[in-house]
Amino acid sequence: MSAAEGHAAEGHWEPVPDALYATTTARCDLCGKMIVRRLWRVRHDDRSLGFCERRCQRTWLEYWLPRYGGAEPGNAEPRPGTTGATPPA
Amino acid sequence: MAKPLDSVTLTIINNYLVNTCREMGLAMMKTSYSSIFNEGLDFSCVVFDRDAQMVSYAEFCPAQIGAILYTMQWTIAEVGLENFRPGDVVMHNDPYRGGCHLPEHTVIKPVYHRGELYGFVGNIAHLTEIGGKAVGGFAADAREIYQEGLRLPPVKIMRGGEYVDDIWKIILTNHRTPRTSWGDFHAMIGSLTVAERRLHQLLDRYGFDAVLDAGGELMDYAERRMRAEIAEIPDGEYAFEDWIENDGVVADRRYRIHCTAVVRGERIIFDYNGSSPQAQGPCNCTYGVTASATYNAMLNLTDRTIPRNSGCYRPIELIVPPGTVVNVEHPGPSVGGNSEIHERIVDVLFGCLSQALPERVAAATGASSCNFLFGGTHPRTGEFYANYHIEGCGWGGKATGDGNDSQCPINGNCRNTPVEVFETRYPWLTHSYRLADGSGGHGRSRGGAGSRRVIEARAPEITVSSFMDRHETGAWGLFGGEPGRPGALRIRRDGDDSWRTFSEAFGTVSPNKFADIRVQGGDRIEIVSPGGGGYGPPAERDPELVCEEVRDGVLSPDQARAVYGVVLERHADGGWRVDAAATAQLRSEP
Repeated sequence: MSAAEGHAAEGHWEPVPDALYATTTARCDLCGKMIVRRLWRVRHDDRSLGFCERRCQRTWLEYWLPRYGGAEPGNAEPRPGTTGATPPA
Repeated sequence: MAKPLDSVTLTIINNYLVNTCREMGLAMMKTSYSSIFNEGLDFSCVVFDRDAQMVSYAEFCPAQIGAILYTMQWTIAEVGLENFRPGDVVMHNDPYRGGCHLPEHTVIKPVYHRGELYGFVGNIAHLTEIGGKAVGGFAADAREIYQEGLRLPPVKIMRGGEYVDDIWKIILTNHRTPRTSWGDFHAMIGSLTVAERRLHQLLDRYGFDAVLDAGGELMDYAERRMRAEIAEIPDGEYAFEDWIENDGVVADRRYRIHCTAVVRGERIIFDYNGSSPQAQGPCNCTYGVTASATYNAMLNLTDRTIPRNSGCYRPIELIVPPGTVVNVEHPGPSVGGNSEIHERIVDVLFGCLSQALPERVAAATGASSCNFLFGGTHPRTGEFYANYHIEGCGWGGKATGDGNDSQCPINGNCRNTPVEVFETRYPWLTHSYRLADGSGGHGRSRGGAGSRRVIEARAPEITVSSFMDRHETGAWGLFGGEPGRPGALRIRRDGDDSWRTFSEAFGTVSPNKFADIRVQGGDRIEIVSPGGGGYGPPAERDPELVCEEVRDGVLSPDQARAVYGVVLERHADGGWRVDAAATAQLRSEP
């Protein structure tokens, strides 16, 4: 069993709560994709994370955690030294 | 389990499936009512298998290339396989359920063969009018989705081949041009029937299991091809960013699109962390838009013969933080994200990968569809009309040549509307429609030119809306290429001698993103689309190409000398030719 498969086995599928009056959709805690019907629930340290698929758990462990630590997507600053267009005045 | 298929049969089945999607598009083009369908071709058509995997796609509108994956998958999951029946058609346009923006409607129909579900056929298309606060569904100053038009979760509009009248009434009552919507919806539904018929023929010929297995093999093949392409990109992290100039609601606030492309062997991750929080106005992108733009960029940088199916997307991973301009959350508006920001995201990804694949990318495009919407009561027919008008822009120069002139942006692949059709259907007179000479950025490969159009209102009153960008900062160049010229939108009121921005003339917050402005008969509007960025230093441009542009009147002899270091001399017949010695001398000077 690979490391990724080992991690994947630590979670479980759970249904996404749904109601006709719901205004928001569930989102994957890594990739931000909309989740319908069920999500892959994982506990890491004290955090509970919901992923759209097992691959996102693997990427979270292999890429996100080493790079950004505990920061949530959207709240982590990009690394300095980015090239790009000059912002408009 | 059917016996394994040989590669020839696989190729035949793949071509059959792709051509089925193309035939769907033709059916929509030939039978629709609105010009954004039959002239603009703003739609995409797909075949999915029963596992909700995309088996084939036709190359109509790349804006939807990722979104249609998610709208289809979402619909199938939310409705549930067990709840589909032969003859059902489900519709959905919810941006928070994978869609691009509210005008884009997906219809989906299950295909059964001898009682067993094979999969689904579907298409996604841009409806000209969907209600909401602005004519044409482009409320460029909207602060929430409820102002943008009628939002539909997945609902059955046909059940067992019969109309669900209640749903149709709700939809059509909320559109300003219900007859046009009726026609366009039926073009969409008709194309599903075309595809269903074609799939039945395919399944009859090769057998159910063989066709199902072929789809799986084709997706695995596409995945292998894409992984091989990614493996050729040097491992590393490549970041780039660009800025949206305003959101139509808050003046002078910029929004950053940031991406880091992380290449690790056969995997590539596009990490959009660092992008700005979502805007109040509708410059936000849905997840579907950002996914579409990401796949669009990758498909432009890799082998065009890779089959466009779910397999080719598997090695491409996205991280798109919710609540940002690249992944809007409820109730944020998003109508402009699909039409104007998608192309900007592609530019950002080209910027990222210019650091790894300099020979494959292009400099920035003009990246504006110049979305211009209008409607009102037609003086000739007395009926309400609405139209979604787009312009081409200049594309970026690239290693292999100049950028395309005035072509629909990379998200659209749409055709422009001929002046004759435009004037026949709508109360405008076109005074001028031409390339905006000199708008492409200078470079070894020049950026493409934008266009300039001047139209005059020929009705007592027309309501107009706009969503445009790149009016302050031009498309960036690459590797020493110069930026393209920004675009512009101006109005000259009847009786006024001056061209003014809409902010000057009407007090709009943004000069290029606004809704529901009423212009009068005789008012003239000028739309200038941005040029593309140049690629490589201008001093390395082939002198003969420079001379040709002087002959064409695109450059002056003085510009040829000052910008490109090319010295020209007059022919005896009055034409121009390159003075090779003087050019070499000038270019050798420090």
